[in-house]
Amino acid sequence: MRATTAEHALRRVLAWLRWAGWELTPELQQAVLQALADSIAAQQGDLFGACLQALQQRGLLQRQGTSDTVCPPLVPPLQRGSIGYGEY
Amino acid sequence: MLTRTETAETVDLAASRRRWRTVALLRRSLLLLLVGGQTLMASWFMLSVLPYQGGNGVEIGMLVLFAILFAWISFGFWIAVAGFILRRLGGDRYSLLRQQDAQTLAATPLARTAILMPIYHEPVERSLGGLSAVYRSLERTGQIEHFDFFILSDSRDPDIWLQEQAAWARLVHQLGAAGRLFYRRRQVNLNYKSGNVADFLRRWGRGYQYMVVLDADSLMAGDTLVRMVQLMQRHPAVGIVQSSPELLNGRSLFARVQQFSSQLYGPLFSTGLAAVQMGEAAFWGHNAILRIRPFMAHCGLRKLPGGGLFRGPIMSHDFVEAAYLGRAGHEVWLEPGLRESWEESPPSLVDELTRDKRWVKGNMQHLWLLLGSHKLRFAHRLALLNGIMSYLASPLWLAFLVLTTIATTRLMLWPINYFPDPHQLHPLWPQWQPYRAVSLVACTLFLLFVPKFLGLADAALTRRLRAFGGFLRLLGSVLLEILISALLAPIRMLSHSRYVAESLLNVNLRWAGQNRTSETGWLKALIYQAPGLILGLGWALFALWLKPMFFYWSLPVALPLIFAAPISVVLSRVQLGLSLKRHGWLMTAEEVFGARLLDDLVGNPLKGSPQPGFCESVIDPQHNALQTALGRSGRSGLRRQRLDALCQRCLQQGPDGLEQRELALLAQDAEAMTQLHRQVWRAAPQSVWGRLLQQQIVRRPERAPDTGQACLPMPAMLYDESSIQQIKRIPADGCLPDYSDHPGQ
Repeated sequence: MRATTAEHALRRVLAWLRWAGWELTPELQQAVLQALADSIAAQQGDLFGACLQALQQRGLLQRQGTSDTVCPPLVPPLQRGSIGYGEY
Repeated sequence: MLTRTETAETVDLAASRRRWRTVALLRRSLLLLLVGGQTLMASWFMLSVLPYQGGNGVEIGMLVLFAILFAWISFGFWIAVAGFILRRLGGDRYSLLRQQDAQTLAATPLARTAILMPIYHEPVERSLGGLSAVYRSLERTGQIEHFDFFILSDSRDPDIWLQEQAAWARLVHQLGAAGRLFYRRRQVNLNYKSGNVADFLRRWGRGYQYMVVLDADSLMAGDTLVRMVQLMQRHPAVGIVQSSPELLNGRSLFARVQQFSSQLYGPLFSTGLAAVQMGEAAFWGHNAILRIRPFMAHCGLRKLPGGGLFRGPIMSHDFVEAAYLGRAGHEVWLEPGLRESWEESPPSLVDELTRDKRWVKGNMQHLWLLLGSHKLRFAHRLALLNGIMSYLASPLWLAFLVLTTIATTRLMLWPINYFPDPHQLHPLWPQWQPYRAVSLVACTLFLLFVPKFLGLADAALTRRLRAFGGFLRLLGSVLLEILISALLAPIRMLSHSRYVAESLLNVNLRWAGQNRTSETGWLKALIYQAPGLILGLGWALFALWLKPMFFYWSLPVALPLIFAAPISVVLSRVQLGLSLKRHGWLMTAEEVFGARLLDDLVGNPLKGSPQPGFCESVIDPQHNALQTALGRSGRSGLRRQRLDALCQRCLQQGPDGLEQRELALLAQDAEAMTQLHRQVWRAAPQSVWGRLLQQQIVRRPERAPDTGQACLPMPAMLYDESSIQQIKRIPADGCLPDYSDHPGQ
């Protein structure tokens, strides 16, 4: 039997949260189901996006990094020099 | 104006240089005398073996080739004998390590050193795992603050370099190496590995006094690295100190044979070679420390201006760089006393020959430099010649066999010419003296195999028998190694001859990363060894038809060629290698006694960790956050439009609908990766990405992935598009502006 849109959305939201590092506590799972139910009721086309947005608005996705978190430095500051090419 | 101390140091340096150059001259003269004398005697003997005693062109050709090949073997023999004697005397007293006592060396302060690992499509877990083991080892010395680590990637396949970036982030997190472990990927891969290192030097070379260059499979202990820096500090005239890496970590039978011989015979050859080369040694391209300033000043490699092979970038850079440093007045030392320096053997014969194909071409290019370069030191020209001869010896041996066959055919089929010289009074009777021929072969075998038994004696005299599994197993392992070497020699000879011919004809070469893992399949082996099989079989049958005795003489070369495919397959088998290891054969010290560095390699933080390619980097929120943070941003105009169009194509057709180059463009753009991540998770279930996503969801374990990226910006799904520019990430020039805690500043 083909999965419904809601099943797809639920599976994706839970997978995304898990992979993004959130622990799927009973409270979070409940909030996901609630957000999904609300999104279906509101006839949202993008159930996945609407669900995540609702969770974020309810302050449930604040655990991980914020926008000012710094990624480890890829390279140090440049200290440019030149290479000498002599004769063969 | 020089101070008194500086003047004294300069005088001291000059005196030291004069001293070792005098010793080097004496040693080289003695070596020349021994090799030359031995070769002359053997050639005279050979002359008496030839039926016409060199009375025709074929025999003269045979004699010349014999003399060159015999001199080559004799050189190796005397180097091993010299190494054996010096090791009996407790080492070479003129070596760099012996020029000061251990306490003085240990008390020498360190200087800023960069450890470089240039990589190109290498297995990520092994190469960067090895680097993490080196990092841990240096940490244990308490001197880590003097070192920075650079992963210098030339990888072009986005699936691979995305894995490299994820592995780098994981290592930084696990090792606590932020600001000490860096990753740089070149967009334009000019001039192979030397171009990669030159790119590093142009950007960051001025920030460091020394650099240690590692290969992707190199391992070096922290203590060894510290000692190398201290040696450089104490000897300002030295431009390069090359350690003598031994092979380890072999699993296949082929790799285990190589590592056994490297560990048992290697010390003899490296000690002998170092004693002859002294301050005019060669650079082997890795597991060495280089003084950056003179290297930058003198070691830029111009493209060759000649024709064919001798046009374009220099492929084998290391010997040339050593020669250029020598020309600029700097010393290059091979220091066999630096222990715990390792690399790995290719896992199979096919992989070794694939690698040799590159090396042959690089070494043949050196012919141009050998003959055309100005003011190179004579010893460095000889080092170039040594590299060339390593491969040129093969076609010379092949030519010798061809001439031998021609001479025998003439003798058997053509009427005997009793008067080759029209003015001679007496007939010349062709004479075949089999006993003399056997004696000559025995003498050659003596030169080839005695160094192996000297290695065995050296192990016994230095009480290292247990390190090789005990005397009986060591003896058995030596005999097994001799048998396998004898089987491999004709196969290598034929392949190298082909590569030399291809090089000189300038057949195109594909530069590829080295295979370090897989076994050889039957089909691949048969295809690869088919020319040898045909040639070996044809030659043996011809010899049998010609004269049974000649057939027996041909067998040591013909049989390995005929059975090259099964030999190649069997040697590549890991199970066979491990089985011998379980029974204590082909053992090495690290396997018997263990090594901390190896333990670190086995338990490195990348072991079993996810290796995200393009798909995973789009789908996985954490990997996507990392790649978004590392990607370029702020592209506008036509470039933005092109990227957006590519993004749309990727969403519609999936990753398989784009070329590798197009995927790379998307993967290095922050906005594109964000956009893809957002759209893919919203994709219709029946679409390409919808199906890929579903597969990932089904396949992935329940546990949250530990990617070790705890300090990443939040996943792209959770911020709006306008905020992407505000995330602190590497800007387009590849440097972090806010980086005040870096010790190098």
